[in-house]
Amino acid sequence: MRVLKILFFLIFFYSISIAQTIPSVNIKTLEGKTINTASFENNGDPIIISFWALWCKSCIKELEAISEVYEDWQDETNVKLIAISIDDSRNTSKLKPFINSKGWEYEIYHDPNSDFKRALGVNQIPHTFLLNGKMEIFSEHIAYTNGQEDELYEKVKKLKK
Amino acid sequence: MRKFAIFIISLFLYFDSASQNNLSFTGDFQISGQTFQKDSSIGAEKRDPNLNSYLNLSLDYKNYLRMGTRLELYKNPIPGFENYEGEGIAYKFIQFQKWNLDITLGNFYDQFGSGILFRSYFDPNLGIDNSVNGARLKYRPSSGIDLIAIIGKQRNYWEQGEGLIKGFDAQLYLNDYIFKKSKTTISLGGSFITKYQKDNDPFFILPENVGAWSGRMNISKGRWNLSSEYAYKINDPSFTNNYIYKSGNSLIVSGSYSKKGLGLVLSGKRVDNMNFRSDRDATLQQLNINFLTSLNKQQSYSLATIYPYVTQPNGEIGMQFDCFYKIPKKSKLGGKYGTELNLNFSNCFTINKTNPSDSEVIGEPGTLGYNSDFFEFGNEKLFQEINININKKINKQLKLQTTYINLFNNDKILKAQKLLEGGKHEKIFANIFILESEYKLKPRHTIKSEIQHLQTKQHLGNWGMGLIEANLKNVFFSIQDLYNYGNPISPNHYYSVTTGFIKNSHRIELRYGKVRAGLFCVGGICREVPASNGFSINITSSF
Repeated sequence: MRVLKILFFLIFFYSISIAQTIPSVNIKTLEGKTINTASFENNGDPIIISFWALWCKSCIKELEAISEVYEDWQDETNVKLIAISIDDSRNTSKLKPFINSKGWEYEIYHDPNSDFKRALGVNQIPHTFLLNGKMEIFSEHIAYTNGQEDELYEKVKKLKK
Repeated sequence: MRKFAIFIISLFLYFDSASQNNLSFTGDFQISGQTFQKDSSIGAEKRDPNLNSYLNLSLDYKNYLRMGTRLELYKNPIPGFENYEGEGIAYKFIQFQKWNLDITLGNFYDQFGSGILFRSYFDPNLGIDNSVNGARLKYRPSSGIDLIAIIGKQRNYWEQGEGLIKGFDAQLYLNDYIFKKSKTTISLGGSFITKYQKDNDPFFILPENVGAWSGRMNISKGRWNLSSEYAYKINDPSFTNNYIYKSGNSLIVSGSYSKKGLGLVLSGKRVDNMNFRSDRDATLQQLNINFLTSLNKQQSYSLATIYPYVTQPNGEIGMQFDCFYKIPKKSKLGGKYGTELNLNFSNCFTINKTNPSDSEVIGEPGTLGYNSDFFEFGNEKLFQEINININKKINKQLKLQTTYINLFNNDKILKAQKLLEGGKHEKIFANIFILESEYKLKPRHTIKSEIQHLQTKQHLGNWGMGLIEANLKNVFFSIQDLYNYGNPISPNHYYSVTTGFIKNSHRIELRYGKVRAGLFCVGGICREVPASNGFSINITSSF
């Protein structure tokens, strides 16, 4: 027990010092085709990766809020948002109709087996990552409160400088 | 176990000193604790404080070698989790990915298709972890073809289930080969699973090898999409089907149409004797090999979760319809920002069952159990829900959301609800009204409120609920009360206050209050939670 505790804290503080890149994991397009997360790219510009699900109300609020300003964000910084749904088979068939009804212009993938979620150590959603042009994690946050997208965008602009 | 942990850590350190940039390290943990006071008004018992926690660690080297582990610790778990008492390594794996190959040794989570035949996953809140411990090989001979082979035994609390699972799955994305330029995309898939368990039964001769297969397809063209999956299992007498020798099958079909501003989905399914576990004596959430999804709306409001419906693996037939519609901006009904309208209708019935022969009754152990006409419905409706949700942004500060739910839950057959003294299982009809508002004071400062009402003449009678939540940048605070004022014996308040702090990907929450006894559900799987009164703490972190 004590050994576990010590390990636990050791690893926790140790981990802060390592720069993380995006792991290579297979996920699906909404048409069911397999793609690898290592192929994510945006010509050296920042990428936002947002984990969401149909049952997660705050996730949808965040994606809706960004959707309203997404065109401006893209014009100004070329930032790209990739939304990863972790819904299980209960909601698979609803994903595309739901996204279309919202009119979201994001790149959207499905992580039905939570492989990508696990590889990034995501334990609750919404969980949003901001990657720099080298696909390294620059910042991340969980939960969403109204207006938080502005803070995210400040960070995107910082990366562009 | 400790040796393994130390081994992993040494590897981290070794790789790190060797090549800082090729290594990436992630992890997450959760720590939850709760105290339990006696509160006879709601039926809460005094218990020793409990602690549930886990820590996931994963190390990735140059994107082709990955290893990971999870440590778990359970102290005085609540009823339903008792078998988890203890601590240790619950999950460990090493994975190699290169040249279209992906080899995993140790524990893994995976699913074939929709999971109708095989799905292993981890949900700590429900106490589910049916990871397979063995080997998995994934191979991609060329783009558009995915092959998976698995072998292993499933986790059963701190042990492993007796049954050995072997499986194979193939998925083909047709457009990479034929119809390359077609706008119609087609994918096909097929799976096969067997489990082997010795027959030690003194009365019956049981099949030691149980085989099952499934086929699936998805066709998509422009705004239209059609998907379907069918599964078949040979006879598999088990505790959950009362040792009948009938084969099982299940079918899901789903079609959708969508364009900007509108999405429509219609789905249907039939399940017949499809409980599939790697130990024929397993019960509850133990050792499930497959995952039978439920076709109804996933609820998030607290009063809407009182009468949940979960898949009946022994037999059900049902449908679901969804409509997502956005009334355009600047139209008469849409207003300045547009209005969202979401409709959901779902229902479920028993399947048709007739006597297997003149001399045998339905469901008798050791017989074929019953005959069933695939296209005929049974006599009983099990569940129905009509759900209407309207979502409207009034101005830059205020958002409103209202929901009406009309619910039918046949607890007379399902027998899932906890009863009052002298009560009996009955058909429950309920109407639920919900109004949610969110007011933005300034960026990242919001006040949210919820008012809910559940009206029913059955079971525990009417409920009212109120909630106020303030989010002030990184701090949140909420107070809520569920009031079961229609309860014929003891009208109870279930109040609670919660506060917490969130920073980046770390979150801490403290709560004091009462929790009602009932079913707690995530994703269509439920478990019973006892009534409780006390403090709780919940810390989650991802790094």
